[in-house]
Amino acid sequence: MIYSVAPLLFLALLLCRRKSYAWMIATALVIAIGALVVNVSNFNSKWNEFLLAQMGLSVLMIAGSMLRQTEAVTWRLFFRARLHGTADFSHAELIKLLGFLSHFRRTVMNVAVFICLLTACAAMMVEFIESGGSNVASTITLLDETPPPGYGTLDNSGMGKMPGAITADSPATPSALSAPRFRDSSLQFPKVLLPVFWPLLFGLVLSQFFLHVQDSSWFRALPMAELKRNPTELPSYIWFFPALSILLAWSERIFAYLAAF
Amino acid sequence: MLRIVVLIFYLYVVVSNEATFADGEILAALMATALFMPGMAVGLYYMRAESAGSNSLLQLAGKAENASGDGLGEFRQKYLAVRESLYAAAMFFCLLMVLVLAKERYLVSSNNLDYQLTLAVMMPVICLSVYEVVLQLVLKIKVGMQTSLPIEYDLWLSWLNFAILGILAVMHTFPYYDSDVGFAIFSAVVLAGILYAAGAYVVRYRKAHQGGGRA
Repeated sequence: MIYSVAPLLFLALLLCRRKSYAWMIATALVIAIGALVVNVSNFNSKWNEFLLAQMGLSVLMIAGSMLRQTEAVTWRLFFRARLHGTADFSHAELIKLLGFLSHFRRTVMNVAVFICLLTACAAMMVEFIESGGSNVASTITLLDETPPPGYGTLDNSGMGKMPGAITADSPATPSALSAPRFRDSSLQFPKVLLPVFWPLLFGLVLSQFFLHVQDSSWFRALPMAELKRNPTELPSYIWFFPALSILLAWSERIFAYLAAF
Repeated sequence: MLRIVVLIFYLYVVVSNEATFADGEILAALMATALFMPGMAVGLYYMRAESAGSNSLLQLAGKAENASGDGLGEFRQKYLAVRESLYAAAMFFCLLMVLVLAKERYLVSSNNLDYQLTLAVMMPVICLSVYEVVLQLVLKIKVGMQTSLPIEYDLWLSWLNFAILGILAVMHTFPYYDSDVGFAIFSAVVLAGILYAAGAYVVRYRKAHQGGGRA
């Protein structure tokens, strides 16, 4: 079912591309593909509160940052444009509104990326601790997803001993304790994938909405040259994330390598 | 040109390491990325299709040959909207791939996870490069080969392609079980960044010098 939604929306979009509701279909297409890729159908309802908290946090961060960095006049301009359009705006007011909107969009994208990375780092850290990569014997989990007994603890105490060296007074240990621990990756990540990417998808759609507003009827009066645009309007530091994530994924080995000096 | 070299080298490394991949799953992921990424990009583009008027990009390109400055500005704006959508989709997929593979590792069943992780991270970037080249080619055919379009190359994408070329070279030289390969790959990214920045600066300086201005 979920696999046929994206192609259907894509077809619908191509068939009715000049209609006024094409915007809605396009939004639905982006969300459908994002949902398909982050595997929403495998979603555990325990995450609802976490997602709500994330959304609340991002709204708070966006509102706080915007209130801190913009003037009341520009907010008034924005609401005036929402209510009555921009037909009676002067040129200076239009420029001011344009700056406000692009600032708003950048803030949304920055907050979305920040929360996405924060969640990803938390998930990685928890997994790093749980998988025995660190010495911290921890039972930290995201959302009470308690690992089964013996899952997170690594017992090295028997290393180096000969298996046959058992004397009469050596304690009898149950063999289950020293059974090899297999990494079961299905315990952790699929449930983390959605919370990590949902804010990013949310920010992407919202910032695209701001671009749409910026492109459309509000700024018809401005000439093309004054709708100043960078070659790519994404925050530029986003390009460092592939490198950063490679560093994160390899962190264990890189730190071990550095420690060898 | 750089993109074509990267693409050929990427395919070469994928084919020569094919035996270590689990049941062609990396190829399946490559296909899924190649299918879904443009879908998302099209969606993102149509969310703002009326940027710079209601003419489509191809219509604008058709008129570009004898267009005035304003018409070219419209075309440029439309082209930027297309490219931004493509980049946004590619970045989404890139982050997704990295995190899925770093944590879930379901693409592979053997032990050289990190090696294949790095190979898989490049998929969205490779797809992005291919689609951008295709887009430029279509526009070029529509306008006519002799006419030059007001399209600038993108600094970040070229840097990324350089970095990928470096990573592929490292991956091809080192055997996958070498424990230093992680550090080498990370160094390759940094080195590509430094070399590319130096090159870009030299080119800009020379251009400014020829024009009589300052860099």
